[in-house]
Amino acid sequence: MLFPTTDFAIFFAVVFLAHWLLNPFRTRWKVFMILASYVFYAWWDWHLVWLLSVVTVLGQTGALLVARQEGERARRVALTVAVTATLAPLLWFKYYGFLSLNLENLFGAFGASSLLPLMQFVLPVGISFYTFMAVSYVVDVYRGDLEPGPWLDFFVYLSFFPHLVAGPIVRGGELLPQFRRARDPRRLDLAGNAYLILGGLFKKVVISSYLAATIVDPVFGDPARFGAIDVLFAIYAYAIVIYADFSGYTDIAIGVAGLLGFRFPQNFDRPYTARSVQDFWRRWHMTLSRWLRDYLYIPLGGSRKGERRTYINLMITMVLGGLWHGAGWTFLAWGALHGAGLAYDHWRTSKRAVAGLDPLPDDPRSVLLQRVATFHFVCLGWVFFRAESFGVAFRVLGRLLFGWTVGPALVGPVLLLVIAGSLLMQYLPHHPARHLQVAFSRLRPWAQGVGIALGLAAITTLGPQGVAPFIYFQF
Amino acid sequence: MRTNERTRPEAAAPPRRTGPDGRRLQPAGEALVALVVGLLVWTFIEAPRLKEAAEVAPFGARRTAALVVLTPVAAVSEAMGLGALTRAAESALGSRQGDLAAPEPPEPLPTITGPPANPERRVAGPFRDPRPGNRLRVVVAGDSLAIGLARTIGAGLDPDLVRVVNQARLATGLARSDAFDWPAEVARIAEQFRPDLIVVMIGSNDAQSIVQQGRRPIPTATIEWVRAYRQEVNELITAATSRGARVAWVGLPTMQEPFRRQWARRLNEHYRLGVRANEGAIYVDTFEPFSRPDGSYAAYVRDPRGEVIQVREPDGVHFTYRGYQIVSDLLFDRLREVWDLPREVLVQRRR
Repeated sequence: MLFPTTDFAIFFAVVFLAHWLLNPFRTRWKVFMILASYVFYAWWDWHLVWLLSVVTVLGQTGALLVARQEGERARRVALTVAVTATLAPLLWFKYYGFLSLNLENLFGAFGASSLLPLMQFVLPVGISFYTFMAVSYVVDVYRGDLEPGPWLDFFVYLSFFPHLVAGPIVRGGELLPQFRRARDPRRLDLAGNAYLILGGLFKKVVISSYLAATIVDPVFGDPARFGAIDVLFAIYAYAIVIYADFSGYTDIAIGVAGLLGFRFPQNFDRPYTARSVQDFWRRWHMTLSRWLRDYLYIPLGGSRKGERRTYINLMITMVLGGLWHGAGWTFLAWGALHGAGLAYDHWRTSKRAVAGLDPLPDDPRSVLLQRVATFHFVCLGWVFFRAESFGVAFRVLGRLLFGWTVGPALVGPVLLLVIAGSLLMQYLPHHPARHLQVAFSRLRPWAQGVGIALGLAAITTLGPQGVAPFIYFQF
Repeated sequence: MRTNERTRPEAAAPPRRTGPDGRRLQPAGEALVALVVGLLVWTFIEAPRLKEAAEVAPFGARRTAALVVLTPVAAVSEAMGLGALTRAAESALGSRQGDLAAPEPPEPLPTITGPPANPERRVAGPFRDPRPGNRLRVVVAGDSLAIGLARTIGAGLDPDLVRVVNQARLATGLARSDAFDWPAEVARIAEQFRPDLIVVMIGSNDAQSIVQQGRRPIPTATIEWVRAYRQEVNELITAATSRGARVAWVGLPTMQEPFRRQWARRLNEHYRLGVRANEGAIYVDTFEPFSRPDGSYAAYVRDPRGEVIQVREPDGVHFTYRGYQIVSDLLFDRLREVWDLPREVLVQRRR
């Protein structure tokens, strides 16, 4: 079920009512929420419901296995088995096709065959997200940060529909305690959460769809037809598209969870104001970057084993982070590019520390240069992220370098306004519509309903027909 | 504490009524009223458009239920002028044109001025010689499969000698002319742009009842359905060829899902028959080239250099970019074979 659809609106109205009615009765509430979340997931493809159950059972069984072991060695062995088992469905559905294809071509170069059957699977929606949540739960139990919860609680945790298909990646320690007690029905932040939901819909349905259809899809579809100016603004536009699409979905997820009384972690914090690649990853898909830090980078040794090992750990973490986004060489390249960027940041910080300097100069001119440079570095990465192949990516970059004799065909005043406006929004204070939200919260409920309806109508009027899936849906 | 015990909300102290940013915190009952009122008012405002979308949906219980609810609401909404208001707003913003339920094509169709096309002219024989000032004009029409194909056709032809315009539309087909009338659209395209060639790839949305303008739905698995579908195919081809445009009908490929695969095989027969009955039309087969030797679905093929490449998307319907390149090559080979497509219009593809 997609968020910006009538189906979801009806579904949520029913779930909202049932949630608050069952709220005082924890067991009944949990059973209901599991059923509702599975209906939500099955609406996409009911064939895949069993997979969510399998990952849930593997995760909880793994956590219980780890918790019951005596001695560090036994716990480590149990952890390895549990994490491997929990990751197995993700590895199979997402990476088997990529692996078998590339192995076949590698063996084929020597006149042999890998003997692995070439198979292709439909990628189950949300599998990367709920698998990572399950793995974090098992590791947190191993580290003693969390006690294994009851089976019912874990089923709710993993299947909870607001975060199910595209995050944010919520830790067990953040969400499980919230499931244990009834939520307070007297203090809902309707204004704040409605703002998040409507704002998220606007970003996804209007901004992202407009830019994708107007310039990104045409240019990346056939770069040879366009000149450098169109290509340049297509890259800028894609930076906005992926931000608007993903942060829009996350805002809706946070707002929906908020209306049910649950608090989700923030996932984006004005990423295009970043002053370095390191800063970017503190602002972009924050729940993923902290997962990579806590469950990959730090277990690899982090920065504790010398400079050389730090760079290797950064590269491994970001390459795997790139592959998490998609089973393809371009995603690997995107991850490697960011790994290189982080390694450079680390090296520069170390050098400046030796010289007694702050990590980054703070004068206004330097800050401006840092932001511009970081933004363009990130945009370079987006070329590989968006392109279907290295061939397309290099054709795009080639047109950027050599296509200056061809005039713009797609760039116009509205497009420029949308791109510039979207980037400038990043520099606004955290709550640009604070006064509007406060005023909205003071209205009568029926008037708030009319306001919500007018907001939705404006979004559907401004947006294109049909609903494109969120970019991160297939991750 | 037993887990089925009724639990109290977290705060024991009197609830704060104001959040950290000054927003009033509200009870869930008020939020429910706001959400329900919002949903109802929005449905009322959008009822005409929602009804239009329901009408073009595949026939079934869901469509029936939606129309039962939306028809009276839309009537009241229209009577109050809300429908006209939203349509005017959409037109002013350029987000929708006319009353079509189908999404807009990827690019606008240019207008070629000159004397009207001569319906007596035979659309047979070699293509005319293209020149930079008088390029060959090619239109790609159809559904989402055609949208992907248009990209590789455009990339495979020299833009100095051939102009390719993508007029394919998502979520369309021949079965539902009440939603989108492809024969009429092809006639319009042929009149306006005077293409030398219209490439058609369509059918992935046609496994449903046929609705022709002003007639009752014709269910599948009936002889009337077969007749009506063939009529649509013939009308589309004739709409093009009677206005001076050749038609290259690219057949449906095999599909991963057996139901879809069966439908693709059946529909391709109708396309072959339609092409056979019309001079000026050719058929390009993609079903066999993308099947394994045993006839099953193939997501991977070996290219001429022996490298295994992925040619189908995981949805089991669409092609990857490499897959569409192969389809384009099959098309170009047929065009050269039948209509002597000049070799110089083909771009040397770099890997």
